Amino acid sequence: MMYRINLFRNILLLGLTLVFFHACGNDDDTNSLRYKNSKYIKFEVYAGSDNGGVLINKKVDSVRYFNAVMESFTNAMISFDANRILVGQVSISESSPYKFENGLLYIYNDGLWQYFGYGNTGNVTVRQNYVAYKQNGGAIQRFRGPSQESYTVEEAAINTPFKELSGMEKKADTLIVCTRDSYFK
Amino acid sequence: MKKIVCLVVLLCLVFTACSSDSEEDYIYKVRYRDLSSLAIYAGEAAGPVNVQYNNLKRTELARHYFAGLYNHLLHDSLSIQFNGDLITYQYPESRSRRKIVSKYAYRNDSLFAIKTDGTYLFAAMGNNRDSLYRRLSLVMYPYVVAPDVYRDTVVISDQPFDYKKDMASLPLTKYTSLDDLKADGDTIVWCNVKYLFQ
Repeated sequence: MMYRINLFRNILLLGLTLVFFHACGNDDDTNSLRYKNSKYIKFEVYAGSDNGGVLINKKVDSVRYFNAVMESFTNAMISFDANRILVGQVSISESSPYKFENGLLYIYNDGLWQYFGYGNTGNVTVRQNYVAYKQNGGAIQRFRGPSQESYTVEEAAINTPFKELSGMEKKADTLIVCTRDSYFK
Repeated sequence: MKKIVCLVVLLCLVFTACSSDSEEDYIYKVRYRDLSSLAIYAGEAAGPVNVQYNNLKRTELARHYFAGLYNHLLHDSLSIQFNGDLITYQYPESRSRRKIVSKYAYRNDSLFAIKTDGTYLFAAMGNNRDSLYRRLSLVMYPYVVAPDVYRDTVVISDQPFDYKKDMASLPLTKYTSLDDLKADGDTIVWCNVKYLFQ
């Protein structure tokens, strides 16, 4: 009986201690979102033909095409402080005005609210579009697409020498458009 | 009885260990950089285009365009501590670190330490302890090396850059206004970086 009372007291003591530690923990850490992973939600490969670019089902090495231009989020963190989003990686932390509007995340850059993805202060998905192309089998060219929710191959083609899908007339012409979602939680 | 004493001691330790530092002990340091004013314009026949990169981290863009002149650690050695009507301000000077404990004042949107001789020593921009920052503007533009020969250069200043007023006064600039960006390859980039204390 005595053993049970002591056990109960010890558990109570431990519980109280944990409650106190939890209550006075650093609130700043509770809102930090860590980078979890990224995945392609769209990866379209177009090849040239007599009739212009056509969507093909071909596996390509995404690292080879996009690694040079794709933003790395390794060890990246996001947190929110009043009306500012804090983006950090190692010792580099940036602070910018932000807003969520209908679940979409906008960050204020150069006088404009720029789209960056969606979510809320508890989890954020950063959406980015990228384009790579080869003219007649030449060197890979690549660029970052605009910050928008969806980005079509027609929009991408305008910013390449092909100008439009019908401009991909050579069989070795290649155009790849991808959309990557990166998750922070 | 012994157990009650132990309990009280333990609780005191817990409270002591996790009590937050008082506001007077808090040291304000540069903890964030605000690069939201980074502007990139490229030339096109139809007129200049405002280029919006999809990078979440603007630091990479600043490093790319301003090369080594953008230093995100620039003001990391500054520290400000408030204690009643005094501040302790630490700053680098000639490879050493100076420390001044003095009265302070806000004047023209800036915080100053008041030295014993009555002169004001600038510490940071801002009009209260929660809005303190340091500022640095950087502009990358083509510098005229010789007639029709240009080389991209970067100028820095502690005054904010306003392209509407200041573009024409950049040293040996190819552009006097944004409308001069007409060809592929024409580029001007600027940023009024704020180093935010917290």
